[in-house]
Amino acid sequence: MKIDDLLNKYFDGETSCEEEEWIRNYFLNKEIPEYLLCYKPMFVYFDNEIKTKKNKKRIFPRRKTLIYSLSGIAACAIIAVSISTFFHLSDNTSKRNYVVINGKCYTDEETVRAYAKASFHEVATSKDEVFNELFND
Amino acid sequence: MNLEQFKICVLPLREKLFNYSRKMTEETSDAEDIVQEAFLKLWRIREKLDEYHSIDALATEIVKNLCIDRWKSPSRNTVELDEIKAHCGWDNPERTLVENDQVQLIGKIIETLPPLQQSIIRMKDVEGYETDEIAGITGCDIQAVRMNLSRARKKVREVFLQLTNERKEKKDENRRFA
Repeated sequence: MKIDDLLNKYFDGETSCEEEEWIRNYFLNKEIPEYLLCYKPMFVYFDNEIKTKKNKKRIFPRRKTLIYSLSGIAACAIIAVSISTFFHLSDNTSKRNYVVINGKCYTDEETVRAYAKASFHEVATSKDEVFNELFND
Repeated sequence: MNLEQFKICVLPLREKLFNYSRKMTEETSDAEDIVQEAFLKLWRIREKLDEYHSIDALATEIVKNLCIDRWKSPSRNTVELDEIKAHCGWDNPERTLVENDQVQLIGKIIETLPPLQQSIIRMKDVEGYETDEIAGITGCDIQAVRMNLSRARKKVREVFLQLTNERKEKKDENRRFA
């Protein structure tokens, strides 16, 4: 009795999606009485269409995930390259400082700094010297 | 664009589109159908609506084209049985009547429904929208959607039964003469 009532409701456009799913499953899975066989193709058609639509949907996210993961890999590669370039450059900067003592080139940071300090000290003028320079005349 | 945004940005154009459509078709019921169909078309392209400079202009253009389609083929409201039969090879009674043919026939019958009924039956029976959701998208009342849905389903049933009965009669006739 239920299926007859539901079919009437269906053709009046008053069924919910849940009820329509029930009707589709009825026509797909159960043994159908002779007098209802004429409705079967209609619900089989809708079921096929729903399945085709779902398959289409499934393909799309997979492609989307692939794009996301590829762009993630690309982003990681760019970050890795830029970090290594940065360190490489900063290394070069430290090597660019050097000092030549007795014809020998030293790139060691401490030696360079100590030598630079000593050189600055050599050329620096003391407070007294500046005072004398200014007020002795 | 979700349903709420659609209701805020697109549905307020309803009155304007309806007046425009009524002017073009000179028929209130046709104008109403065209507006509903235009909203369903806009809903289908809702993800791309932001790309358009003016949704108003786009909606008016859709309504205009639908009105022109209506002028060009007023017979679109009736199902052309001969056309469907020719498409499916339904006239050939010697062909084995398999279930797959009948399922294909349903698809062909749906394709010959008026565009609005076609959209509504697909949204309800394939895409799984509830009637009130369709009413929300088209901005009309639930009863109007139900009526169109009911007409569409009954038409599919009627044409399908008519064609299968015709075929059965032809087969019986051939058997009697053989």
